Amino acid sequence: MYVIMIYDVNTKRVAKVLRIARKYLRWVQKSVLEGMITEKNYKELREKIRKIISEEDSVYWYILNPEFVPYRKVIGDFKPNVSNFV
Amino acid sequence: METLYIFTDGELKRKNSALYLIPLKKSEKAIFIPLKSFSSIMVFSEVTMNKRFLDLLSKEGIPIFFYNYYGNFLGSFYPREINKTGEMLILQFNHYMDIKRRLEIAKSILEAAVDNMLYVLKNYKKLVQREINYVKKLKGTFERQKNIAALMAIEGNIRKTYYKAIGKIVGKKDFEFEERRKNPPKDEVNALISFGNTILYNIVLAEIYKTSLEPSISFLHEPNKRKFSLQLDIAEIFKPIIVDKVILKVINSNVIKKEDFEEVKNGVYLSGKGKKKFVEEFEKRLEHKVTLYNDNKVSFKTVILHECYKLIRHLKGEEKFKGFRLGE
Repeated sequence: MYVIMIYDVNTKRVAKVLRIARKYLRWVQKSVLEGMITEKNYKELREKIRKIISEEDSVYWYILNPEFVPYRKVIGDFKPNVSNFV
Repeated sequence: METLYIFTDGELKRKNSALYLIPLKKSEKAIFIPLKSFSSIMVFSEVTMNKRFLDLLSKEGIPIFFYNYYGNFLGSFYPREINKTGEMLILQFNHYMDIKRRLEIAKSILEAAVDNMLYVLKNYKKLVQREINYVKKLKGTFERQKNIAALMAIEGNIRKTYYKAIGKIVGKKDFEFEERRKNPPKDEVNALISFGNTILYNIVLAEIYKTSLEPSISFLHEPNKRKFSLQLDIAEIFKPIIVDKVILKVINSNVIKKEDFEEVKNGVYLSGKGKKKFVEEFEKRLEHKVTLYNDNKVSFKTVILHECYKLIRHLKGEEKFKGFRLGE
């Protein structure tokens, strides 16, 4: 499935959340990651992040169908890092 | 799971348990690549790496394959084996040594491969009807064969006819192709076939790696020519519907043109740009969804993995192996 992850956490924990999420998804922008992920890995990622964050933090996951890879439109600086050809 | 293709020159590093790629060009930014979503890595560019990075690959169970400037396979780093069992090794060995049981597997692989060839030619019926009929006739003689060499000889004849048909199809686009010639490839189409087959072999090997099958014992091909040969057997089924289909597509839709090739001594190779274009189409094809058991839609890569499991079930005596056929 295709997932977009957005997080809003206390600055103390920002780096930790990013470090974990980066193993599973591609970093697109500050506090935003996206990419293809298997269901198993998605659950793993959720559990790992649940352990770090506290009550004041929030993390959103937008789950898209695998056939539904988002169509992007960007203005300004864009460093694409979303394909598997680098 | 996806395959990661690296075309950027640079350094591959491990950083915070993720893959970190630092490009050689100062103008490009370093990037993190999430390894969890990949099942194998193919490297076409000049890269440097260290043992800590290999340690990461080993931990995630991801094999990494290296190709030289011309796109020929150089070698691979194959992580520490985790799920190989002695039982599977013995089963494979038994099936290899018993000619009757070996022939049974070899025949079902070849029959599926030929059916898939016919599937590719089906769209060009008017142009290649004669070749189709001849392939069908030869296919009927598989059943009678009593040894592997005879099977391979018929397979050779079928492939020759099949390639003649492919030559007729690409001939309409000004590409010449008469027969298969490798080391080095003689013409553009040969270069595409060589390159495509090499990548397919390694994709299949990466899938075999996930199962308990031992890649060094094969049934159709003789296992004495190289270290791993089981991937050649399984790839045989998929070559027509993956590699050849991609080749026809890139030629028919002008994705790859004559200027995407480089001439070397006695041969032709894909250029750097051409390789990238081809691999992109190839990956699209691998992610193409097909129906498998009761309308379950899966990608070709999953189908390859399923073939490995089907082979395991056959070896264990649970279910007869029947190769995958597209459009059935």
